Parts: sequence; C-alpha cells; structure tokens
Amino acid sequence: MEQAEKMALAGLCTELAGLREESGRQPERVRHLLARIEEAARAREPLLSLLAELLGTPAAARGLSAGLPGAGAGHADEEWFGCPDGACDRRSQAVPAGPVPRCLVLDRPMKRR
Amino acid sequence: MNGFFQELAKKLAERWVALLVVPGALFVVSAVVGLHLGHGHALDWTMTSNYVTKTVERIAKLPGGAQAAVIVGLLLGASATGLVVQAMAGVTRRFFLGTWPWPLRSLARWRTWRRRDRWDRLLERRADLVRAHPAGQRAPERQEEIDEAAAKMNAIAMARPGRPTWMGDRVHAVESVAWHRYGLDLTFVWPRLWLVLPETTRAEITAAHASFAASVAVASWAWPLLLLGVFWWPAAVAGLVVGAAGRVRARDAAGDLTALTESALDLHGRLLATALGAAAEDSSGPLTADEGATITTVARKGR
Repeated sequence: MEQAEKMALAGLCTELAGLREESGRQPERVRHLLARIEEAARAREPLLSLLAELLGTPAAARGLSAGLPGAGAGHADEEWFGCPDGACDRRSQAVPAGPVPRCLVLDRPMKRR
Repeated sequence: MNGFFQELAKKLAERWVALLVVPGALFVVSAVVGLHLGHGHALDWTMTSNYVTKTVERIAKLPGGAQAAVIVGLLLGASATGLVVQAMAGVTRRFFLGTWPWPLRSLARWRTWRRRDRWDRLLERRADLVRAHPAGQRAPERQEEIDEAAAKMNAIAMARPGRPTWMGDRVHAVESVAWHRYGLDLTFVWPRLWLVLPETTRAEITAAHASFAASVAVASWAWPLLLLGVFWWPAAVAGLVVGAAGRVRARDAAGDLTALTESALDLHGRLLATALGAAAEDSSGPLTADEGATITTVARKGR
C-alpha cells in the first residue's frame, strides 16, 4: 500500500466515530458514500478517490458512460436455445433481451445452448 | 474532522446556489430586460444598455432601505423561479421518459411504432446475416456486419422498443429483461430487491439516480426560458440550448442508471430469491425464470 493511501486509512480509522456521527446529519448520498468508504477500508482497497468524492467530486464525472473500458459497441451475442431435455435437435434464437422460446410439447422454456 | 464537514457543507450550499439562485437571478434579470425590449427590439444593444444604466441609476438614488428591498426582491424572485423550476422537474422527467399525457398520446404511439419498426428491421437484417453465414464458417467482414447491426439495435434500445423516447426505452428494456428472462415484475419486485442489495450497489445506483435528477433539474430551466421566449425570442433560443444540454446529460445518466440496475438484477437477483425462500440458501448463479415467477407472486399477492 502506498504511503498516501496508508495515511488516508490512518486518518479514517482515527476519525471514523466522528465521521459516522456527522454523516448521520448529512443527506443519504453522503451516508452511502461513507458506507462504501468503510467497506473499501475493510477490504484494504484504495480510499483516496472515494474520500475526494466525499469532498464534492460530482458523481457524473465517474459515470459508466464517461469513458473506458467498454466504450465500444462490443460484439454481437448469438443466443441459441435448444430442446429442454435434449430429445430433439430443434434450435431457436430469442429476440435480443426478449422472451425465451418455449417447447410447446413440454410447455417448458427451451435451454440455452 | 469538523473542518472536513464544514468544507462539505460549504460545497452543498454552493451547489444549491449554483442550481437554484444563480440561474434564478439570471432569469429574473433577463425577464425584466427582455419584457422591456420585446420582439421588436430583441437584439437592440443600445436600448438594452440605456435601460440597464437608467435602472441602475434609479436604484442607486434610492435610500439604503429601498435598495436592500430591491436586492431582497431579486433574491426572492430568483428563489421563487428556482422553486417553480424544481416543481417542473416532474414534467421534464415524464417528457424524457416518454410517459406523455393524453394530448401527446398519438404522437407517442407513432414514435414508439417508428422506433420499433427500425429496431425490427435491423433485427431481421442481423438474423438474415446469421442464417446466411453460420458461425464457424463466417468471414471476419460478415462478423463485423453482424456486430454493426447489433450495435445499431442497441443504440436504439436495449430490448424491443416500447416507449417514444430513447431514455424511456432504456428503462423499458430493464423491465423487459426482468420480466422475460427472470420472471420478475419490477414494478412490485424492485423495492424488495432494493432492501437486500449490498450497500455498495445501492450507493452506485443512488449516485446514478442523483446524476439523472440533476440533469433533469438543468433541463427544467428550459421551461421558463421558453415561456419568456413568447415575449422576447432570444430567451427561446437560450431555452432550447439549456434543454438540449440537460437532455444530453440526462441521456448519459439514464444509460448509467439502467445499466447498473440491470447489472444489479443479474448479480443479486438470487439474494432476493434466497431471502424469500424461492431458492435454496446454497444455490448460486443468476436467477431462473421459475424462481423469479415465485418472487413476483409473493410481491404482487394477487394484485
């Protein structure tokens, strides 16, 4: 763990009781953020960026749509479904994110292949 | 640590001033000047300058108490405008999410049909490509075409469109995935899932929702500006710019919010199933449709 993170963890540990008390008087967003900070501290994960956020860095600045990774269009997923118990070779594709095709003989949803 | 929270409180106050009072004061000043100029002299800089100078001189000649009253009046006007705009946020939200009232129902139906038609045509093209070029014997160029068709479909909506707007369809897609893939009726199940979600997940979703709400608040400033535009057209231009800027931010936030919500369903649906006894404690993996259907039955209680 780098020195700055160690200092941040030590500061948090020392002041945690006061922080918890104070956050009780703050909006829900702040309380959630403190809970995340505590969880990160317990997992020994970096705290500095979370503490900076507690000081007012806007949430939008770290949104999923803000950048990498996963900013590209990705690869098409071909989702095929087959017979629920494998008794026949029927294969069917579902509408993307739509209902799973059903086997009308068994009246059961088909299985992902 | 007191200093730390004083700093935090200061930032929250700054945020309130930035969101309500400053735009409100700018609107009040613009309204006073714009109503004086009207459409006839909308961009008459000399007239504006003379009017502002005369008004400032008139205020300067007032006694101290009257000057304070003018400033208090301006601040009250700014805050009142800000509060009205806040109240209009619900209208903006409905507009963005495509739950339009009756005079716009026909337009909403037509837009939904158009979005669905475009999506269906892309799906047909993608299915044709997949049939004509089965996986394993497919050239990289054909795969790129399939990827492109899928990306275009996802750019319209993440599931078959059912709303007249992009943001509305983002929300609709989460509901559609929850229903079709997990058997969950989110309208009833979401509050229960929220109560069992881990704190970190709830914090991320809350932050995305706060970002969406802030964008809606920004876009809501378009309403008073468009109204002022009836009397002074430059305000209408400003209203369109503000509305467009808010919409762009709201789209990003709605994209994040719905992606996080769907991810929460994928990752933590089983938590709810085990909490309600719809799945065994030692089970793992995403929720099954049967388990989801049991949860929906518990949540809906025949309603």
